[in-house]
Amino acid sequence: MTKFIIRRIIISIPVLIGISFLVFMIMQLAPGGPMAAFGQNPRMTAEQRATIARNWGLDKPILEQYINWFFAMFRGDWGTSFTSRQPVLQLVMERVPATLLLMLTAYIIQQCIALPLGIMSALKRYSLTDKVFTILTYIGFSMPTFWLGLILVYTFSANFKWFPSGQITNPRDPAFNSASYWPWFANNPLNALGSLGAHMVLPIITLIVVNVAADSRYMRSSMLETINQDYIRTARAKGLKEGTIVRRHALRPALLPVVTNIALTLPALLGGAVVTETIFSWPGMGLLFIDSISRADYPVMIGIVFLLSAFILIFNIIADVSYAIIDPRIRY
Amino acid sequence: MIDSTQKITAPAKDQNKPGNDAGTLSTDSHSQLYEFWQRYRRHQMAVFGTILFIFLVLVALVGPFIVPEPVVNTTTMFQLKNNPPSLAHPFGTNVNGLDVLGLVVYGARISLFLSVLAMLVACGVGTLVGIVSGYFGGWVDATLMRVADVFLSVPLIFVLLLASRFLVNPPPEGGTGSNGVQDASTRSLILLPLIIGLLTWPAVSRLVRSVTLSVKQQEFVTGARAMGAKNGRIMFQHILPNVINPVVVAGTLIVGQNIVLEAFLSYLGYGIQIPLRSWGTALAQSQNEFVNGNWWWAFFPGFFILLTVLAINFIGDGLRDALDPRNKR
Repeated sequence: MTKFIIRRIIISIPVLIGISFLVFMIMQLAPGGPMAAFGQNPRMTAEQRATIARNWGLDKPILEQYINWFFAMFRGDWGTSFTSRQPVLQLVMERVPATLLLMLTAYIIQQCIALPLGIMSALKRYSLTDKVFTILTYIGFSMPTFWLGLILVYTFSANFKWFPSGQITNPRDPAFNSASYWPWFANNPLNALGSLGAHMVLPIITLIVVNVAADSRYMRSSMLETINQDYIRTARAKGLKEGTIVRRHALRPALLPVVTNIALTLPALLGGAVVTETIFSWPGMGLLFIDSISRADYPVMIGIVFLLSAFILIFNIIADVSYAIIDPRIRY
Repeated sequence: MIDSTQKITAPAKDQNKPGNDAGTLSTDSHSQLYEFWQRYRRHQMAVFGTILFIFLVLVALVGPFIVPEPVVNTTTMFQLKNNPPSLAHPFGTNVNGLDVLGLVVYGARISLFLSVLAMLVACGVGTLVGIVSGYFGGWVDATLMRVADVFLSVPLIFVLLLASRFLVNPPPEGGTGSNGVQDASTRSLILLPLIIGLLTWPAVSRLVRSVTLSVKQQEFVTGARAMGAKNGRIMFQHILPNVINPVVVAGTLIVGQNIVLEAFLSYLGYGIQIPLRSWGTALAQSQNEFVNGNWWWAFFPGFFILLTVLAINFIGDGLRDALDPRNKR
């Protein structure tokens, strides 16, 4: 097993290098290159730009720049933000808790809804419930996430005023994850939790609709495939109760592909992060990314893409390993 | 050789369609098309999706001849600002007094065109890479699939935003000329489908590769090779027709995905550039008017995106059932 995990990690290293190269090259291909950010400043002379380029090593050959940059990333030197002058690593890490909080909560809720829904729909195949479910999943699956967010904001925030339209804290409370936030949280936990929860409702709905539709659909087809197997018929012939058959015989093999799918849908969830955080001004990595894009703050953008890619690679490894652990048929 | 195989297969096909000429290639493909249609129309949702999609394409093609192009002027700015839906403006007007119906109609052309073009890029590259990778195997396969892994492991929307921000809509260097706006919008229309296509091909290539792997083991490929066919001929004359069906299904679903991607990019201002209009640009800034009670501006363009993607997903499912009867879900 250890050998398998190690081999799996070693295979991912060239992929990570490839990702870094891809991202780096997009920057280089851009008209104006990495210096484009300063093109917007009319007061800056060509000489000043040249000085900046020399100081940052941007006048060296591209391949040399790439290698320098790559090793710097591994040393934890992710550069400095063009706009706030803070180290990128620190800037990005400050935003991680808010994104993780939203993602993980959404993820758990999503699975709690999608899996039972898919199983139920499979067990009652061709019933009215199943048909309604099928149509709803199609609509959910086709939903443009950011538009759903807009409609939710209009309906439940601007119109009914049930939930806040964005942010993670109320305007007068301390900023999330700032120095004064946690003491404030400890002093009035109920108030703080309530505010956090209220701020999370709309973003979470926005995030999970598409994924619930996709995941429950996946669960449904996996369950259908399983309950048509011969050994399930044998269990029925033995006179086992339907509930027992589902719980003892069908559930585990049906969950196998779903587990892999759960880890593999993570990129989609991270994609949803940038969409949701933009609509709801949720102060996570996605919003930081959008802000840095509008400011052409390319060290921050690269840092975020690099971090997320590493995340995705790790989850792909976890998917493979967990698949190997729970499926006794797989030899590694 | 070819004649004899036709004589063997033709009578079997004739039983389904009595009264046609025996054994010509055209009737053979005709009956295949007929069988495809028989299977496809049994899929109710696919038929519904097709009708819906034809309607949306008509909106894109004919609509601009009926609905005037949305242009900002003093009348719209002051008299038509944020008008609710009415007979004159069924979808209402936005903050600049632009008719939302006009935004939807003119946006449909670009949204559909761009998404289909991006799909064609992805399917073209993906099919080529997949066939080459699956056919040759070995280090060619290993290298190409690692490259595909890179694209599959990258957070798509983030890289898409990165690429479109820097390639389509770069920060002006020095000053822009008077035709800077026009340049940016033309550039966005050409580059955006390319960027989306070049970032989404790996899913297609994986699919094509797996089909190629199984097809190349079959006897007709061995036969072709025994007759002296070269690699290129085997790949594109013999294997390609076998991968078309799954690629068509995947391509259909990719169009739906592209519509949403493009809409989000344009909504943020990093996609299609005005004066060109897509459904995404139609939605941009619309949430700013929520406080003024304007829901119609945000609702209608997005609703058309939903309808289109829904229609496309229905069609994709119908195609899957009709083109690949073995793959029952």
